[in-house]
Amino acid sequence: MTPTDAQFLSRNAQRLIVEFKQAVNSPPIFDTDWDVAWGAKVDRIEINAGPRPSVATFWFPAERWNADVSFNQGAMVRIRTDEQSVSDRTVVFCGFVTKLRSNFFGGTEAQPSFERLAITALDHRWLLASTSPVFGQLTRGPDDYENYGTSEQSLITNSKTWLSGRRAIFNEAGLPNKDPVEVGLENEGSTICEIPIFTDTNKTDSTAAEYWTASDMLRYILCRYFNAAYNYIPIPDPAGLKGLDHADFNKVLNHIVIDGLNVIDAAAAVCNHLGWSFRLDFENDDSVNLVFYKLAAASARTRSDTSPTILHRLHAPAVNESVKDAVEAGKKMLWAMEFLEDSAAVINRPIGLGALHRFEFTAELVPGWLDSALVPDTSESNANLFFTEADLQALTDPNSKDYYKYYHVRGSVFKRNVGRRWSLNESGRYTNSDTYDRGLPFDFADIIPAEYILDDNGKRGYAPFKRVLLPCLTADEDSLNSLGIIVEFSFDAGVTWQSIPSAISSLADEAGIYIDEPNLAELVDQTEGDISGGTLDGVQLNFWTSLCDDIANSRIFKDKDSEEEEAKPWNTRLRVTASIQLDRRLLTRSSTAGPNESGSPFDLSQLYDFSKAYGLAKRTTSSSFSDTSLPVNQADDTAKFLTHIEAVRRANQDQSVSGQFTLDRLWLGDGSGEPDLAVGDCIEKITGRNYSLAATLNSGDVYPEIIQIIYLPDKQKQKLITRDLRLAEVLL
Amino acid sequence: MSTNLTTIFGNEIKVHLQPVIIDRQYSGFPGAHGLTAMHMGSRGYPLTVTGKLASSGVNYTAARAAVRAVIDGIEDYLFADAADYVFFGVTYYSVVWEKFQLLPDGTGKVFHYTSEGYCTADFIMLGRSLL
Repeated sequence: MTPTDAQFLSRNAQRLIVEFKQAVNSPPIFDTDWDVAWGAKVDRIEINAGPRPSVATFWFPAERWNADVSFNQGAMVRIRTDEQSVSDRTVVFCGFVTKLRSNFFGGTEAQPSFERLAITALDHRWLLASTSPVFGQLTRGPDDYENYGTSEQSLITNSKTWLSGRRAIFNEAGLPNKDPVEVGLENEGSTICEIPIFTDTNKTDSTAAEYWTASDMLRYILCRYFNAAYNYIPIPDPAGLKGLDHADFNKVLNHIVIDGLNVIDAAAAVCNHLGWSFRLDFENDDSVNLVFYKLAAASARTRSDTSPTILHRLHAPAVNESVKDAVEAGKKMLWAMEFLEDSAAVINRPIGLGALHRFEFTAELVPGWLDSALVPDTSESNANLFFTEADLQALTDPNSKDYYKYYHVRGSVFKRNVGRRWSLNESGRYTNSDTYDRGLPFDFADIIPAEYILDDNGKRGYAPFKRVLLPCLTADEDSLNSLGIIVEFSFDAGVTWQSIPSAISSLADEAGIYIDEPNLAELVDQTEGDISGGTLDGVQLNFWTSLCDDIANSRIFKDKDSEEEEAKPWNTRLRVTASIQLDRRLLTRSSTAGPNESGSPFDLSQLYDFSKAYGLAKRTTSSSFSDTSLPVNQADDTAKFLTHIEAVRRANQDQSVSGQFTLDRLWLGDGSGEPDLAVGDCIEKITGRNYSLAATLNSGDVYPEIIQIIYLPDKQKQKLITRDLRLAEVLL
Repeated sequence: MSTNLTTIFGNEIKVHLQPVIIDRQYSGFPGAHGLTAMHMGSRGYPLTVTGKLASSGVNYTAARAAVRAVIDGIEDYLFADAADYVFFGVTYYSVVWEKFQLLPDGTGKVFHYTSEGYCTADFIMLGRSLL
């Protein structure tokens, strides 16, 4: 086998040729043939991983800063090696001119003058990102079917509708929203691929929604429909992209929001959840390909379709070793290195913060007004006690009646709280004050199981802060939506309860409700009974008269256990079934790292806010729905959360390892047609000094992953930038 | 089209073409013996023209001014693009001129008075053949 230049102590500088195609028209059309820019000299090529485009900068040593070098904005640029045979050449970079950079300097005694005209080009990822936003949903509308809505409904081939107002969120809120039937995409009249599209989550027929897998998402994102740069980077069928056939892409990912991103960032967002990334490979037949690879998972030593990333060994000669043998063996000689193993960033005792505990309960409310504020008008044998809306319409001056004047929402001196404001009294606002005396503050320990409300010492884990009522966890059987906040009335001191249709809202400043109904007398007892006994004997029983009866009879509304109330309790009662958030949250601490597991001897913590992902929501036995068969959106993510936090610990408990390695030559393939190193490749060890870079993670070895390669042709050096190993770990 | 060097500098010149300059970069490795060398290419052939500029005039001042005019003409070549030059049948390709210097004698004088109405100046012109 003929030794390559890499195997000689004396090497030749490798020449890079800059070729270009002028951008003609808008959007540009490019010639099929490349022109060579003989006067161009490559300054730097930066190959990047993931969504970040690669960048190349070249300049014209023989030209003035204002020279016309025939490179216009948008011109296509290719930088390649100079082998005779096309198949031997390596295309190091391909992209589009985005910057023309002119500068000059008049010089001083210490520094010579110069003029410079440089050009910067970015690769196709930039073009994809800049031209191809993703928003709205691709779905099927009524016109995408034959005989829509009838029993003979059938799909129209390749017909679809894009809806700009629907947000592109895969598996929104953890629910499936993929149409089980894919749609064909056409290009120039022929179907090039089939892609999944969105559908209604709540569909229950034979075409019920399915979950999107990561592969489905990427096929959707990268398809022809959203790829506005298709003429420059055609991806006819994204399913055929290298790496996408890996089983990892069959995973279902929930609530992936891509609305408002571009196709490249959207693809990266999906990959990030899987621990994958991608790069752009330039082929010497002019094609550019997105290649997906698993982070820090390289294990092969020869690149192939199934192993897009490989392991490398760099050679730093041992002390007193002659470099001759290593060079002749073709080892990648390490000329300079900066390598950092940092334990300061170790996190081996992460703490996860989940959502606040939420419980559904049923409890009685207390009146949020003073008894003295309600004065029943018993004049004219109770004729003025209340008026129905029909009665009021017959009155020429309803404000002449106290009922209307003070207690109707349109009254001239409307007392807005009386009869209408009811509170849980969770903060003690209506307790033992100079004005209110509605009994003890609400005790959450009465309704919430001890395991959630009491600490190890039996102390209640909440404080008398004001809260707000939230909708029930119990859901409607059909729509699966929350039942909302349910208010029930009692006119017999809580013996029986009834629902009365009325406008009621939740208070914004405390846990309570407000009755918005204009006329409280319209809230009529469902048995249509009358008041029995007392001043109001024989009067129709409704919410207002019931309150008046309590006041007229000097009944007491206090804590039910109080002796005063026990003797003479209010008949009018309200109870609410709702949910409420308390002062504790789902809190998870990881276990301590085992011996020699962590890169630091200290327990180092970091808070992780997962309050939108994990929580504890329970329907307590106090809830009036607890004995029903209605569905309930309960959750106890304790175990799942702990698993996640443990994964965070495993991923972060080792030292941060990052480095910058400079090789003594450019490794451009030496005639093989592809560069020796690619982003995503890993550095296994430094031979010569026998320094292993492997770290153990989840009982497997991982290695520093190359996330950036910088070619410096002027110096004939190549830099490899690796990233923190810990970031390579898949969280779940 | 080559320019004869005598038309620029006159006949009293000597022309030397030095061997090519090699640009080589060496990379060492800490603790190890040996280097790798990277041949970065050649940096052209140094071309040296030495000689004497001579002019005459009605008196020394006029002769000296005439030499000065010749020097001005030579200076223009310092700004010229690469061009081919010929001397005694030898062509020097793609030459750029980098430096022109008048050489003083032992007394520090540059313009020499030889006889009435006659002035000379010794010089060295450094150039580089790019190919």
